Amino acid sequence: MQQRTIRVWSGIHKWTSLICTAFILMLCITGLPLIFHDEIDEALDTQQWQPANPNGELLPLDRILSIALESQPGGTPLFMSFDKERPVVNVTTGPSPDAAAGDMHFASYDRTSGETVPAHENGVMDFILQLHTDMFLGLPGMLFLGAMGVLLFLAIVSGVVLYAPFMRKLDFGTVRKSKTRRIKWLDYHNLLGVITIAWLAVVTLTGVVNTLSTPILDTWREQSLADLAQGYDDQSVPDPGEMASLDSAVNEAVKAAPDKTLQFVAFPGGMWSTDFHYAVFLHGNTSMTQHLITPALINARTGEFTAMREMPWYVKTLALSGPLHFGDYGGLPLKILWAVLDVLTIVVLGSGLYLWASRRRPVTSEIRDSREANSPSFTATS
Amino acid sequence: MSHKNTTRNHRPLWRIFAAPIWIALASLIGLASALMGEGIWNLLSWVGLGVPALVTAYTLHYRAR
Repeated sequence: MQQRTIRVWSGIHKWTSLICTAFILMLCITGLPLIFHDEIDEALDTQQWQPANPNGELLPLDRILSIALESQPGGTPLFMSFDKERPVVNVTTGPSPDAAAGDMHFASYDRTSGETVPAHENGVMDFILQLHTDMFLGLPGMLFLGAMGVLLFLAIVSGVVLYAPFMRKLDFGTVRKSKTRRIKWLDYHNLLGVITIAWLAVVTLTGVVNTLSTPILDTWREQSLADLAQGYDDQSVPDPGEMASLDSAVNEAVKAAPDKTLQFVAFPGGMWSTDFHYAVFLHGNTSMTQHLITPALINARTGEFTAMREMPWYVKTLALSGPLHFGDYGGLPLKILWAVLDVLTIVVLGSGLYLWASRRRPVTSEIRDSREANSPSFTATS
Repeated sequence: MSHKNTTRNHRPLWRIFAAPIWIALASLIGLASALMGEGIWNLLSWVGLGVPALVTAYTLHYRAR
């Protein structure tokens, strides 16, 4: 590689890394406990919850919805989701159909009694999650972290390019511990960087896709659902009192997709539906398709089945970016490996920072030093 | 250092990137397989992503000099 080419790639590596390192370090550190979110929640959950009538009949969803709305006067329903292993329905309400995440209210109800289910009280994990997602800055914060992810990806690519000239005279895996501290950490940086590269590239890119969830869903509504929202020009988003039965809407959706499982309902006017429909989301039953959701759209005033719409590729990409970023899709061993690779990434970031802070000379002399350190005549000086 | 010596010690690109490419391939298979299914697929994902972790442990233990 030409000296000039090396200097250009080195410049790219240095500046992309320098700008994003502080934020990526924050993401790696906050990400570590988030990998074990489920396990931590479970460990902190001391009381074992039991449904009031384990063998009793399940209350209609309409009944649960009205209980939820009574507890939140003036609130409008946003989402209803269903626990997998217990007869529990979760209702999210907000001051308006397009309420911001921070203004939403979340409550869980026992479907056998209509009583509320005590929530997981875990302020610390919520704080960490919020910091990791948007640094408490909402959409701008999320998009900013996405931009940091793009810079990290450029740092990864330029790092691979620079790996070659540094390794010209070294076997894979060499760490020259007996040489200078700088050469030792250079070897660690190159080795751990190249070992974690595929995993880090995937976690970085899926993280970037996750930060784009709002624009992705906006595009989906405008492109895939636009035709369904036509012909309602003189109508507004229906009030809860005007809405047709939720139970029959869910039944219609399940009937239309008997091979799928109910996941959640999005109410009209929010991110996940049109202004006039219930969007009943169902997921597949194989491991591959369980991450992919398909909405059945039901006219929220009349209860009439309108359409079943397969998600476009960009929403499917967003859906698969969830598990591939969080590492929660392959049991505890996968989570542990996720944590190990996360810690190795922290070492790569830290050693990179050290190499920058202790730099003396241009990268091309650095490569020469590194190569000469390999020869037996070189003696350690620090 | 003579020019001849330098050339002799130079590793070609394919050799520099051989191990990293195998590790990256194992990682990607690991990342994808847990999406494909449970059971054997999960096992494959642990093996695949276990490769970068084990290579790290191995090189840090045996290759540091």
